Amino acid sequence: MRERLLVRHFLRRLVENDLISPEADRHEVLGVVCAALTTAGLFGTAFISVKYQFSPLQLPGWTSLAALSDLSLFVGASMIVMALAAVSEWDALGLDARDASILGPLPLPHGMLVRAKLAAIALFTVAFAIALNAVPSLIYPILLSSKLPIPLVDLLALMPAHLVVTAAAGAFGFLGIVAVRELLRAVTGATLFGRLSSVLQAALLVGLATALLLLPRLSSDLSEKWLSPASSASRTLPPVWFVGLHEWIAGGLIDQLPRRFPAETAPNYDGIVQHENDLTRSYRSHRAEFAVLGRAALLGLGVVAIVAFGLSAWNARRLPTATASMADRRGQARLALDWLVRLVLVRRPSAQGGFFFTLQTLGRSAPHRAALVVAGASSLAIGVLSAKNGVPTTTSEIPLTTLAVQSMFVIVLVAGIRHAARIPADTRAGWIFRLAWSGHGRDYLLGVKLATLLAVLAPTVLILLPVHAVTLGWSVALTHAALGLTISAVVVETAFFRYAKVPFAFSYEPSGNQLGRSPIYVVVFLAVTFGLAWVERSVLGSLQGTLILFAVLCGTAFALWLADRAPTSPIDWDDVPMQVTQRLSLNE
Amino acid sequence: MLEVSHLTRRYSGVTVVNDVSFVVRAGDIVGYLGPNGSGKTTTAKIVTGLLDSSSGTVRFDGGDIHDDLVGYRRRLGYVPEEPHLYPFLTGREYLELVGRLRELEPASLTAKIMALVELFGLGSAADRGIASYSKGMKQKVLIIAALLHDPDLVILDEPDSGLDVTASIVLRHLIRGLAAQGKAVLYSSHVMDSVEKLCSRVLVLHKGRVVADDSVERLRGLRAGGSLEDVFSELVMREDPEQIAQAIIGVLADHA
Repeated sequence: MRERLLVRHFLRRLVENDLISPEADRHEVLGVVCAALTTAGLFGTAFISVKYQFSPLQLPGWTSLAALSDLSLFVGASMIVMALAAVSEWDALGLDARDASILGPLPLPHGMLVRAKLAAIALFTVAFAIALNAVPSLIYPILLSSKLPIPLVDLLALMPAHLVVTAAAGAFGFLGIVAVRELLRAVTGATLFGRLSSVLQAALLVGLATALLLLPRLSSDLSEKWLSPASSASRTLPPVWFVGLHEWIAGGLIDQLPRRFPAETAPNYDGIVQHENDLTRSYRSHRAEFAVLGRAALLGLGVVAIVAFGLSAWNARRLPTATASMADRRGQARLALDWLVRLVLVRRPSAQGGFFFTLQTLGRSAPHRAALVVAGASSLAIGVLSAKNGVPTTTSEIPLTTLAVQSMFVIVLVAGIRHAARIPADTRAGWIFRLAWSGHGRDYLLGVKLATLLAVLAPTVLILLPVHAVTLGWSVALTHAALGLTISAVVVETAFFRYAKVPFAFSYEPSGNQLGRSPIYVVVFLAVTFGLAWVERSVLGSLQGTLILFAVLCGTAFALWLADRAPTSPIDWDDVPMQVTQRLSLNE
Repeated sequence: MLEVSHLTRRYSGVTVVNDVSFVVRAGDIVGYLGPNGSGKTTTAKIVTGLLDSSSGTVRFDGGDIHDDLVGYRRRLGYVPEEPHLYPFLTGREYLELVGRLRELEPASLTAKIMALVELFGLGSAADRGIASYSKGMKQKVLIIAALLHDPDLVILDEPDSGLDVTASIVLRHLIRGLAAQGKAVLYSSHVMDSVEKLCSRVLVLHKGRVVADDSVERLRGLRAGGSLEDVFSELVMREDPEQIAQAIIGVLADHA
């Protein structure tokens, strides 16, 4: 009875996640998560299945091979989303100081606490994996086989097979993160783990979010890319194991269906038959391998589960203390940075306030870190997708995408920060801004813009510099980086031009129908980045042209900054978002 | 200096502050007493301009505070009842943020913060995350933040909440010293002893209304040989505290 109560308590802890909404009611959080999962599953599955619905002739051999790519997408998405969920639950994955302070004084056996925590993690993993994959598992088999002569029993068998495999893959992703966390905790000890933990969490978030964005490209043409004899290394990838598991247990259901070819008099009849027979042969040639991969999936899941739960139990043998969070945040390097910024870069007090508060909020507040991570992952994915091989010999041969990548990074990151600026750092603590506000909003905003430029964009340009140096040579890469910094200044000034709120201090206000405007944003984004790349490539050959471009960009940034100094209307601190019914015009 | 006239505030039809009027002059320490839910914090929030009143005015040095709210807040220091601070900042970073927003001169701000955190006994804790602070430590940060800019009007909403004995005594002396410098202090507290020792005048609020407004001596005079606590009990308590305590003990014994 007591253990069940504890399991429920730990489950609640996993549900109450600050990333979704720090103040939200538990049911509200669950509602938002379920709605998001259902909607994403529904639309994703419908989008993936379009090729079956619009195919004039669907045959089992072709379907079996095409479904491999779909399955790798489902499996990969489940694995990555579940891993992301684990990373967002990072602090709740083990017993922490808060648990120790609340539950420690109660007359509960230590073993009961540990068992309850592990049971809660296991239940959460299973429940979330099923919730994530339930809708696609119901819809996808129907859409996949709607034009095939599949018996109802076989169709109904495809659904649980899809659910079991994708949920198992999700559990693998989730427990994999738990295993990594607990392994680090066991190796480093509580104190060092406290310091490394947030860095590892942020790195995992960026990596996983990037992988999620790259997933559609990685999972396309699975049979050719991953299952060909030449790519044996790909068989070590966990998503391929789970695709194999699915085909091992349910692959025959589609493959064994009768082939209904068009009439022999139909045009290209022989070609169609030949093609289908080739595809069937190709699919069946992987049969034995599917069994091996399936066993690898089951073994992998078992090993990851044992490592995750075993290490969790090992690390929880003593209740943690709060020492890890008491670390001194003010090192010598930080003091030197403070001094440099205060004396050289940001002289006005309000600007210093904006500068430091931006850095502190972006670096330490969970929702703001998440916004930055999503932006970072998006830009990284764009960068990977835009990467081109080959070293150009002249500046005119440089591919536009190579030059556009830097601007893409800058714009996506600034968009992320612009979004983060609208999220309050802490709604309840925001009163101090109202009370201590001097009225010099433009100075505060200048600090925010400088922090964005110096702490986020300049390091990004510097990280890209050696990458560009390899393909473009150091001379061109340095010029490109210098131009990148000036472009960054222009983008930051544009993003915050006439910004009428106080970044990180206001109550969150939804910004209207951003999704509806997204096609326009994409077009503008591509036009600006490739336009700038084209102009840059045109002038890179001549020093004079480069200097003119540099001067134009600097002048634009300065002009925007100057125009933004003009006084704006006073800040309305009581500005509250419209009610949902008002936004939907239901009250009219 | 501060003049509150006929202040009323309603929430969804419920009147939580009802026709409250009082004056706090330079050098005054005015005690603002009342049981939980009597409207003290709502009054404090209206006086700081964080909340609008349904009716009534708040005037500072003759002018309505809403005519120049930023200018008024430059001269106002406020310690709120709830210690809501940014948990991911350190104590020092929070104070630096407040000082910078108030546009205090950077060099003197740093020195001032260093001196004040030492004097308030925060010391090395100033560089730890506020999330790890005790209630008393958060309270100290709030008190320093309220006084950092040397305000003319100080509004303290239960500032001694969570403070240890030493810090409470320091706070008492501090309030007295601030008043001696000519600052106006509105002091809300449940610690009757502090109110009795500090305040030149006391307002007692009950169900949103001012039920007493007089000097401590005269209020004590209402009940021969009584303390301020006795007078307060008589004004706002409808039940005998001893009887309630006995009833609680009875419930505990019954369900043991």
